[in-house]
Amino acid sequence: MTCFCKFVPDEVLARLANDASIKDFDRDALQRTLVVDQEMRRVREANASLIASSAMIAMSLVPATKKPLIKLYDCNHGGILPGARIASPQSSSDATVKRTFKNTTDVAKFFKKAFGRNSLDGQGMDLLSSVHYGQNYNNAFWNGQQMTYGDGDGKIFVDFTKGNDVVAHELTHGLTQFTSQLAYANEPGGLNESMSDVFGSMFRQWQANQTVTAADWLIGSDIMGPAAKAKGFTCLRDMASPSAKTALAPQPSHYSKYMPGMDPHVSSGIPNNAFYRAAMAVGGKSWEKTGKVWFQALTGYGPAPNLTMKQFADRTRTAATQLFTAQPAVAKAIDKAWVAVGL
Amino acid sequence: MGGGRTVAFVAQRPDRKIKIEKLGGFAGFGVGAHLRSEGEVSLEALSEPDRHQVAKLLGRDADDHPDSLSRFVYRLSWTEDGKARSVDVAEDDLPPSVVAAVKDKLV
Repeated sequence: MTCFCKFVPDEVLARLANDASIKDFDRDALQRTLVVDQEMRRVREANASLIASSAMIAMSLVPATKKPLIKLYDCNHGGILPGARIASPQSSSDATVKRTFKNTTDVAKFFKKAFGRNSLDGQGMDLLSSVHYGQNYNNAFWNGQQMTYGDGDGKIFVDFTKGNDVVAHELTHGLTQFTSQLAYANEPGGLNESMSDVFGSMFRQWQANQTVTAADWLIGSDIMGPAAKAKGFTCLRDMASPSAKTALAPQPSHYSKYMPGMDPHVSSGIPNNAFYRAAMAVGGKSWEKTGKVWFQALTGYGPAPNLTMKQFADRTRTAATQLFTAQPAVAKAIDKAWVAVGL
Repeated sequence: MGGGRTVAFVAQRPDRKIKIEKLGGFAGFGVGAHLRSEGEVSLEALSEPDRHQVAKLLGRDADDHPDSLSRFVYRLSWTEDGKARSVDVAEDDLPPSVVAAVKDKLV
């Protein structure tokens, strides 16, 4: 909304212009002033609209020029973010730093090449990552502004930067933040987590140039520590078989098992399994068709913090028809995948 | 429950124990997972500033849940007037002495 500050408000001018106690000459002048003022407002509003449009066009031009910088910081096992800036992470002797720089750079390339997205915000925002966070810290997270990675406790988990899907998972939370803005509870929470697993797995496949049949569809398999492996756990989550006994955090794979208030890390198994089923049925490389449909459903409709799983499923059905009009088998496969998980 | 009342509760019974459970994170600690992280602290064992910080957290509305993404959420549980109470708080809101009281384990 644009606000115009005026010394004499329109309603006062109008009242005076109609006041019989004021001379005709003066009332005509007031009436003309009112007309001029209103005309001036229209000009200003048109001007403001033009400026807003120009700004939007200018913003849309930014992706062609601005490339995201990959910046790394070392927390040195403390809990203060972002930590000390690392000058040349690409040539660091610290394997964690070097690996994080490469994987983050590759995620930016993945979003750009596979989906035409320039960084998380579409405007080439720089990607900040802090490593060696905390003591034996068994986590990695996106805090709304940057990535943070713990080294793991060396027992249940090892260094979280070892998982390329971990890096892409957390950065996808940033993509979601700048696009659909899914909430982090109930159904949109499950979708939010699922988007991160889906794009995390796709990135892993993209880096290895794998087809859907060659992919392992596991989340977190590279960060399993010796104690977890000794107990037979091979991953955190399994998109192909969400309730697998080998998953540290098994999930439901059918919507009939969904309950309000369910943890997003649990309910995400339902859309995760739908993506797996769709990608396998479509075939080829996941990011080429199925991934493009999911990307469009996530980013192409503006903010929708309360999006339900059914609404997201319907978005993919629509997007598949629009993006692959000449290949109806894509939309058919995606529809069948959602039906299989109860959506 | 108001924050002031909880602060008074803490002052009256500093020996009271608070159970702590770490939930969520990238790995999804908590219900349904083979990952647990639990611990317990006695309020009297905490430093005065930490006890005060925890007392304020106990006074939060039980329906308030931190928007955590992949960050950990800590569930603090205690008994007051014979009733079980709990509140979920973000990891940044807890003093390090309370965070350190939980231990990650496989179940």
